[in-house]
Amino acid sequence: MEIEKPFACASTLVVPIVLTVICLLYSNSYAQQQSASAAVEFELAPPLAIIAFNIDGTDALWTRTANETCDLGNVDSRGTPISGAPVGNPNVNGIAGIPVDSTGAPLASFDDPGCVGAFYPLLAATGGGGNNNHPNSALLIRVRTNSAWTLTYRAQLLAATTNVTVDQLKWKMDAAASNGYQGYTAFPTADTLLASGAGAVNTRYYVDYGLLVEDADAPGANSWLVTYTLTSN
Amino acid sequence: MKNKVLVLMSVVFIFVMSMSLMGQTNDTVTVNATIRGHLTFLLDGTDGNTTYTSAETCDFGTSDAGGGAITGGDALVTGQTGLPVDASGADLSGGEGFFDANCVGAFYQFFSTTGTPTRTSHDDAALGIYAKGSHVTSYNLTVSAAVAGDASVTVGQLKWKTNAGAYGTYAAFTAAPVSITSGGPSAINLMLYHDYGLVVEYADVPGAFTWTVTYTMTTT
Repeated sequence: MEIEKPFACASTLVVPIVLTVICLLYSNSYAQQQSASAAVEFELAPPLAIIAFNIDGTDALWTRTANETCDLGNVDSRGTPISGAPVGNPNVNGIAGIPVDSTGAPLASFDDPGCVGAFYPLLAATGGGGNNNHPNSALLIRVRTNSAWTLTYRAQLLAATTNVTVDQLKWKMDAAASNGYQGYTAFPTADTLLASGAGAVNTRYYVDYGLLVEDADAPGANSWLVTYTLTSN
Repeated sequence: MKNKVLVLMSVVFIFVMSMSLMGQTNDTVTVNATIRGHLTFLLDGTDGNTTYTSAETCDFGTSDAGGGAITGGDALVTGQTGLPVDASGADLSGGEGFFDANCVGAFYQFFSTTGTPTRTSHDDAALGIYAKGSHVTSYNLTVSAAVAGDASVTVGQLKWKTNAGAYGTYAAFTAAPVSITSGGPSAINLMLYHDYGLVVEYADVPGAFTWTVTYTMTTT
């Protein structure tokens, strides 16, 4: 959701209405101008709590919107490099999965008896993010508020093949360390706090995604819907 | 007029408050991924290099119906001797052995010990069969064999059993596919260790013989 420049919004929408009130009072009764003055003071009501809240995913546009799509293309539990362009986003094309055991620890080989599948880190390198571009993180979240705020997230499966669960999609902050998928957090179905603050904020979060593809997963199309909610009063 | 002003102020108040109450908003990310199926299906024989391939060779060197120690061939089988057996495959070692009137020849075991084989070390089993794949509705592993050489030797003289199986559980290879194991719906994660055995009978015409054993994994 893009809500930019709230003060400009107040001056163009609220002020004309107040000026109209003053004119009406003047033309009818001078004694009632005091009430009009009160209306002018009312214009100083608090501005919007949320100034800006938008995200950008793994497409190559670097354009923040309210509804992004990350197309990961084709993956498998053997860690074959992601393919699928032009359907798959170019930023993730070619990323290979690493063999992991059931605890998320990396293994030397997919042939290890304890290997349960492949974990695809998207995108694992750190740093390099700007206001718009974020080549080393799957997601950029921009938050700007005028008052206390909380940022929560949750996920659900829109489409899933047999044995695929919502928590196979994972995330971590771009700068956080990881080992296999240890260090990543599985997406939950219930709203979960990501960050909060007691006052105004103007910040950006760079978030890495990761997808676990297990041998047990049936082939086919899968789709996760991740919802970020910003609350500020 | 005062009431009109109050009403108008109320409208303004509601308008401004409605803006300030826009204190919660959602952004969403849709993540799409298409999971593809895969299957890794490989074998490792008696060459000793523990490298799994799709076309292995077991070289059993030179053997004879008298159970003489194998010469030549893969290092792992060189020196193996054959047991005296009757027509039913019974081991005659406890009696007169090769002098038993019912002895039809020698049975070479590759390999007779059970041990604790691993994927990269199966000195106690002639063959490692490795199959790992994604979720399938069903899978079926079958084996069939053919032999090339003099007609006196039949395909059934080459036999197999699971590494942990007892002596009496050897099964003769057949020309028609026979199921070894099956399952599903599930992922495929098989690591099988098989012992081979070869009957060399007095009736066999000497010469070179080659069995081609084909393992086939079928999934739905």
